[in-house]
Amino acid sequence: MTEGGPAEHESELELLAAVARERDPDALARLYDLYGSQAYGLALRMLGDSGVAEEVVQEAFFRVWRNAGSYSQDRGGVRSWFLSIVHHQAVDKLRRFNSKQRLDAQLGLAEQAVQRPDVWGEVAADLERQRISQALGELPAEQRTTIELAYFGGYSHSEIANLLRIPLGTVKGRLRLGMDKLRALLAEPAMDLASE
Amino acid sequence: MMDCAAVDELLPAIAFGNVSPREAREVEAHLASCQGHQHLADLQRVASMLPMSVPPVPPRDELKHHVMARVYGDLEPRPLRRLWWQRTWSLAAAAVLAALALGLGVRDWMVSSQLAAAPMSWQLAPALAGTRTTGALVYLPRQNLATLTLEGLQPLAPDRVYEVWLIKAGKPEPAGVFKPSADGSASSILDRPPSGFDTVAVTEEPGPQGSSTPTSQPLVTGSIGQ
Repeated sequence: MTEGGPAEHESELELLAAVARERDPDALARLYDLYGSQAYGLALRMLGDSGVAEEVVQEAFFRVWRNAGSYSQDRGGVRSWFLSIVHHQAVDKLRRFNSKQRLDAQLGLAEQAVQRPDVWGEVAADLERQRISQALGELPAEQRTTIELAYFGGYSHSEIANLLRIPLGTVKGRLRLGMDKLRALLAEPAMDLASE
Repeated sequence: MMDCAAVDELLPAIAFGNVSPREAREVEAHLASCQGHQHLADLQRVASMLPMSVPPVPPRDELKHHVMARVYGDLEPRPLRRLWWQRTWSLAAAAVLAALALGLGVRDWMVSSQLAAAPMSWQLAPALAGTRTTGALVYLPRQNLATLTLEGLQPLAPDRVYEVWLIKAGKPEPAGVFKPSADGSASSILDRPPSGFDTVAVTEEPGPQGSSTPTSQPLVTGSIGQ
């Protein structure tokens, strides 16, 4: 990934503008080259099923193709905006899963965590990913798990309370404390967000 | 109407985009009239960073083909008939202009060439009673790439596929197989360009490779006559 400097960001904005104004398929293909692996990694992590993850990525890129003009820099960088579309699509799919499929998706995540116990703290090639992973790794396990279920699992507060067999208020408290701590840990503007 | 404490409790879920439509409406109404929740933007910024903690995973090469097939299928269609008119007009104009100035004739030839490279599309309509399948075939001459996009497809048994046929004078040639998405849509890049064929059709066939000749009635067809 080359999301480090202003030149790359300008290029990504230009590509998005070419999609919005000129309906240029080559520009979308280039955005796919830049974001495809990140999008698929996110969808696969959330859904645990390669086929459904591919559907989500395909739908997300098609939405970019149709709605590139709706992007505003006020809403963060191009990559963040795009990944939020992938996240939204994946949550939509998760909610259509039956309870067993959803559980399987979460078990898939659990297996990943077991096989790679240092998943949050591993040294990532991407500095930004490393910084965010380290911040997540500094959270108490119960807060990290709650954030994981809420963000990557798409579960509501009450669903998390049922899954973890804890009071609803505890779920809300863990989420709030975890996010506040993350906010403090990541207070330094991220490289990509700051330059976009 | 939610009070400030209730809204604060929901802020992380709001930042995740993970509240019910009713809750979202109530929170939105509250935020519109209350300035006491400034850190929502900070939480949204943190939430937007979470996906970047996930290591990238390269997808199959085919996924890019599917994405681009759908995109090409959505390009504004330019009917072939119009191209013929344009070309005819261009050639006639070139003949007249050539008598006046050779340079203008060259320019007209360039315009004609650009039009010939423009995307062409044809619509597909249901061919079986009770079928709601529709779609479009798009051909990009410059890339020599044809993509078929369909909607309203029925789900298939695991051992079945849909197969595309390009037909000339009643003789079908296989042009690729595909499976629909869960929502009944599909996009597929054809194995060959549609040049020289007069009809495109889709049938259901045994998977995974399809058939060499159709074994069922077409569920959707389109005329691509030139």
